Amino acid sequence: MAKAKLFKAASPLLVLALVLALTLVPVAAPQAVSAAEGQQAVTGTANSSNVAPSITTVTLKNATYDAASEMTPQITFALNMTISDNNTLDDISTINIAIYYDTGVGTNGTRPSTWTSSSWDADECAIYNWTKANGWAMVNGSAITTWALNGTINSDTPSDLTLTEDTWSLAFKPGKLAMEAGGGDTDEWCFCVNVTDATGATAEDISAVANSMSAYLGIVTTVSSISFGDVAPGATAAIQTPGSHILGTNVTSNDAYELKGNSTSPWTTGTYTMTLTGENTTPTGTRQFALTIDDGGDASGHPTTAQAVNTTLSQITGLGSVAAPTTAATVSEGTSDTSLYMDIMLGNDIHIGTYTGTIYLQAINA
Amino acid sequence: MRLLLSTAKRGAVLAPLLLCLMLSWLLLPLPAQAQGGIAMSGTFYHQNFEIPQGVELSAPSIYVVVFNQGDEEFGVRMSSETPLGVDISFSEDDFSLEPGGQKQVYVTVKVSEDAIPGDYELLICAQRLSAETEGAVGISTSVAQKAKLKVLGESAWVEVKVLSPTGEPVVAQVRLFKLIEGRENEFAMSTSGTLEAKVSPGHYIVRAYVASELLAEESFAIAADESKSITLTVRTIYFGGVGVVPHYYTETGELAFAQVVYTLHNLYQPMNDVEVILKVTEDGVPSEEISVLSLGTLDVGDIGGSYNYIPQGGWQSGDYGFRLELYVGGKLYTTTLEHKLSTGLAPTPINWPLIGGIIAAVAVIGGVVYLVVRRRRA
Repeated sequence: MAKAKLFKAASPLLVLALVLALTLVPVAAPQAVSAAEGQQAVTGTANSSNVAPSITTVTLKNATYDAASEMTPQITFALNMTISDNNTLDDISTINIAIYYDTGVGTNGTRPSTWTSSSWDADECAIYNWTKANGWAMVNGSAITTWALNGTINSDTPSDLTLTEDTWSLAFKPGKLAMEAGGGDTDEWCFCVNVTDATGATAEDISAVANSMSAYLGIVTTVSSISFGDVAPGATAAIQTPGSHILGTNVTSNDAYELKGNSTSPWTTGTYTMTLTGENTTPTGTRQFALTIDDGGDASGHPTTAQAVNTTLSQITGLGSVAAPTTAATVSEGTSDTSLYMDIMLGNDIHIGTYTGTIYLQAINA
Repeated sequence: MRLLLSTAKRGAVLAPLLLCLMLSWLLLPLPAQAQGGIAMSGTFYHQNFEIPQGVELSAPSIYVVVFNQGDEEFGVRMSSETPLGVDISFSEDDFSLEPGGQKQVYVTVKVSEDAIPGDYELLICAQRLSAETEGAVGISTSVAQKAKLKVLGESAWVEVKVLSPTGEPVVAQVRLFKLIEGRENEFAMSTSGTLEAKVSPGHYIVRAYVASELLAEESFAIAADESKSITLTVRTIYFGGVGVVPHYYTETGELAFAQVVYTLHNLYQPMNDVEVILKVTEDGVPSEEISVLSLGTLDVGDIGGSYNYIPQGGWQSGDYGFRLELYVGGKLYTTTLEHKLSTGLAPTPINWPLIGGIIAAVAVIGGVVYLVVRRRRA
């Protein structure tokens, strides 16, 4: 009887427990999803998970899109970056690219610490970027540079962003001072590509298939002609025009270079001639002259260490291996400037007249 | 420049005349503008030629570029310095450059049968041509590059052909590089899909490109008097951007379906009867094969595709594998790697309102039981 009373008293609890059990069953059971053959339908709302982008390949191409492993300053190249994103390419928001010099082949060097113009260094590191909002840009800040974005071809982006993989192409021209690198067993240039998607997920790839950089060498003289003024036979004269007594050379180079000089012979008035001796002493013969040159001189323009100029090219002493001009980070590019001093020495029996000749200067990648 | 010279006769009679002459010549104008502005770059400088006797070497990657950095047009003359039996020729010997202009000049090195084997240095020079100025000492500038040359008396023979997976010839760009001191030096190039070359003994790498994409390469070594035939097989249709993206129910967080995504690249020519099959494995056991794409013709270019996969029997806990296979004309052409997706029974989501309700209900029941027991005792 007592048991019957207890059951009677506890019956509301059992009812409640039964209700709770029935309520909980659907919570533990899996959601029903239709499963049909082929492309299947989903019952309910489903969201994709974000998948980080990845970089499939980074390849250097020339302006006709043939594979290249060597860059040439002031020539247009394309850096093709094949990028994939399983959330489609529309998910890609930013691509940062550093093209940088590395002294140790195979190490891939160290990529710049930032993707801003503070890492820009005309002879060692160029930075470009692509953003979904603004497209391509060169990140050189206020530094004046001969690196360039685009050229004979233009940078490009995938036309169909619904694909999961396609190629971004950065067209660029290396600057004149981009450090020469031999590739192979010596030094090289690397490409670092950093991709970010809309959620901030990133991928990074450093590619350095021993990419080399060709030598670039350009020379400009400060004047197109010089004059030794009026010189008497047996006398010596320095450059009189320009009035600085200097033949200036401005060399733009990304590698060490050598400077050579020579002269035509004979020099002529049209009627009379005089012949170059190729010696650095006053000629003793008739209708002869000598030329000397040096990269040092006094205030009057006379060479410090006079070297003979001959009819064949010969190295100007001290200029056998001139270091390439370099730049610091964020700084504009410059040239390597050399002042040349020259003397003319005349022999005897030279006819009066205005003589014409040519002095050649040759810059060679040393 | 003006150069006034007198004879050795130093008579006092001549002095006034000489002075007059000097003064008159001093008044002559002199050109003072900068001269030069010529520059040169290019790959010739890095070349390390190793050429057998009787071989002419030229390639698109062997060139120099001459620039006009100045503000006036000038002419340029190309020249070279070579050892006996070796000739250098240029794609252009003489040309003019506008201010800011540039000219890419391709370089060919020809080693005659009579060239003496040995190590040499080559030099090429771009000379700015200047008109001689009457009465002046003109300044003329030039720029030059050097390269190394080794002439060899021994040689070998290489034949390369590019074929499709079905054995048909493919018109491809073939480039042959010699490896010297870790650097690739281009030795020969063809755009026909075949290449034959007399080469120097050594280590080489040959590459095949279609639509500028590297599709095959092979490294090999060849000894003197050896003949070698290389076949490069290229797949001109390939998958890219393949992945499996899981999608989850918003409400429960459970796996709803796996989206298999891919991009199909066709580089070479339209292909007929193309089909893509999705093969699925469950814990390594093949479970399903589904045709996800079927085309009468696959045109050249890129197409993207995706497939939302749900197992016929619903998702089970385990590892699913997904692989795409491309069939052309009913024959397997290429496949992707297998992409994995691990699933488990998704944890039951916590329904905090329900749990709160249960706790409240238990508290109420407890209270009711307490009150009933207390009344009976009373």
